[in-house]
This record gives sequence, C-alpha cells and structure tokens, in this order.
Amino acid sequence: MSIDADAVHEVVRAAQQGSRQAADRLVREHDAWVRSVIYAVTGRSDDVDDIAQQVWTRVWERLGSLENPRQLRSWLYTVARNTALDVSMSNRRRTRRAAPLDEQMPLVDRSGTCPVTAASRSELQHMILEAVRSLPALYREPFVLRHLNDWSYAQIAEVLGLSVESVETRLVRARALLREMLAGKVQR
Amino acid sequence: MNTDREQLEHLITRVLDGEATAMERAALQRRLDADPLARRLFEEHRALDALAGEALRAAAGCPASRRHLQLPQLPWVRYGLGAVAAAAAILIWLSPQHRPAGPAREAAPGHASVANWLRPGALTADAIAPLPASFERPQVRVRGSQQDYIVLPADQPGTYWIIEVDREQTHAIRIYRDY
Repeated sequence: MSIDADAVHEVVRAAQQGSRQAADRLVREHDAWVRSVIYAVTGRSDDVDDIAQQVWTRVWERLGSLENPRQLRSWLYTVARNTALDVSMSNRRRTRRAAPLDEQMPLVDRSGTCPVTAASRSELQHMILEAVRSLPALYREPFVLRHLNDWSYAQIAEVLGLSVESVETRLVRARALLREMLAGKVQR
Repeated sequence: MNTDREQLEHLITRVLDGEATAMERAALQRRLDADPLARRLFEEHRALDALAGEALRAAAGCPASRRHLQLPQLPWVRYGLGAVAAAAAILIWLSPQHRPAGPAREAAPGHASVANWLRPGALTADAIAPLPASFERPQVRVRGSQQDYIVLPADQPGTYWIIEVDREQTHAIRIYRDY
C-alpha cells in the first residue's frame, strides 16, 4: 500500500468518524478538482460555487457509504458529476432571463492590452468555450479535467473509471472535434 | 478512418499531454521534419490546445498551467526558427540603418526588442523559468490557408508586429505594424 493510499485511508476513516479536521482536510485537498468536474459537466462557471456547496453537503451525508477509502477520488467524482447533472437539469426547467455570465459578458482581460485586442481575445475565448461546451460529455470531461488540473492520463483514468487508453482516445477525439468546429474560425 | 492519420493524432496528443516517451517524441520529430501536412496538423493542435487551456482556466478562475512551459522541444522551435530567421532578416532590413532616407513616421520603434523576441534561443516554448507579470504570450493567427500570422507585442502598448508566414515554405512574407 502506498503512502498516499495510507494517508487517504486514514483521513477518510477519520472523517467518517466525525473528525472535523479530517473533513476540512478532505475539502482542502479535493475542492479544486471537484470544482473542475462541476465546470466540465455544466460548462458554466457561475454555477460552480453553488453546486460545489451541494456536492460537499452530499459528501458528508454519504461518506459513511464509502466502503473502500482508496476509491475516494472516483467516488467524489461520481457525487460531483451527479450533483452537477441534477442541478443542471433542475435549472433547465426554470425560465432564465439572462444568459450565464460567461455567455453574456466578455471574459476579463488582465493583460492590460488595448480594448480592441482585449475584445478579440475575449471573443476568441468565448468561441472556444462554446466549442468545448458543445463537445459530447464523454469527450468534454476528460478534456476539461486535463486542462484545469494538469492531470496525467492515469489520474484522469482513476477518477473516471476508465483505462488509460480510453482516456487518451477520448482526448484525441475531443481535440479532433474542436479542430473541426473551429476550423476557419480561429484568428488567434 | 485513416489509420495513419489516427496514429499521428494519437502521437500528437501524447506529446501535447506530456505522456509521450522519448522514442515517441523522436518519432514525431522525424515525421514533422518530413511531412509538412503533419507539421501543420501539429501546430494547429498545439495552438488550439493552448488557447483552449487558457480559455478554460480563465473561465474557471484557475492559475496558469505550468505544463505548457514544459513541452518537449519539438518542431515548434525548429519550425519557428525557420520563420524566425526569415523574419529576423526582414527586421534587419527594416532597421534604421538599412531603411531608405525619408520621414521616420513608420520607423520601427522597438525593433531591437522585437529582434530579441526573434533571436533563436530567445524562444522559450519549453522554458520553465517564471514569466514577468507584463509578459504577453505571442499569438498565432490561422486563417485556414497556408499563411500564419505571428503577433508580437511592440514596444508601445497596444501596438504589435504582425509577421505573415507561409507555412508550407516556412518563410516570412511580410511584417507590418498593427494595433
């Protein structure tokens, strides 16, 4: 058993027994990538905070059901993904007056460039985000996890419950689809 | 599905994701050296991947990835060097001592700094050193033709040098200022 697996095992068991410190540690160590999963599923940054809160609430409610602490990451992924999907379905049923922020407003440009260049860059980013959002989920999720977390194929495979080869194939497909969608449209 | 094309796409993906072995990187290098279409495909994937990563991290509020700074030194450097050398030659031609006498209205301000950008060895595609806060990554425009446009910041804020490069021939066609 690796040191990491031992540490995970101990933290999860402690959290299951009600240790607040262990619970805080789980959030600190996993919140960032959980948020990336939420973003990968929903494609909407303005929903991430709310959904993340719901995810962690569900985690604490159901942590006792995690029998094998070594499967924590894949289990967290499932909770995060299902929560994000549930909230997305629920939101779609409601009437929305305004589009999500990143569809409505240009992304903040922090480079200090001139307005024309900033607008061009934000338009390009918007176009790319739309293309990523329109990817099928099985391609979009590994692609987003790869870019937001700098994860290796093995790490993505562990969380998604796939083989490394499948992760690689899905990333190949994601890139090929993005290239097709953006062909001729990109003036970077 | 073209098996050869699929194999190339897999190889490119593994290299871009830092999963390729040394042998695989060498194999890709040989392929890109020999095949202009493969080189074009690699550059398109590389640029699109960088843009997508930047857009996603900006949308999600994540810090910049360190992985893009650790790309193996592959055809981007070698390919870019060809364009760089041609562009540098044109910049030298554009430098004050070479320009014909006349109004200095279209002088090449900051040409020395642009030439620094283009000096072989100044390319830091795979450097790991931290970048200054004011660093602006050069952008590449692709218009679905064989021309590429390399956008480099000039000295004056809001102005840029545009280097139009023929990808198939790997030489600079022209350089002009833009805003």
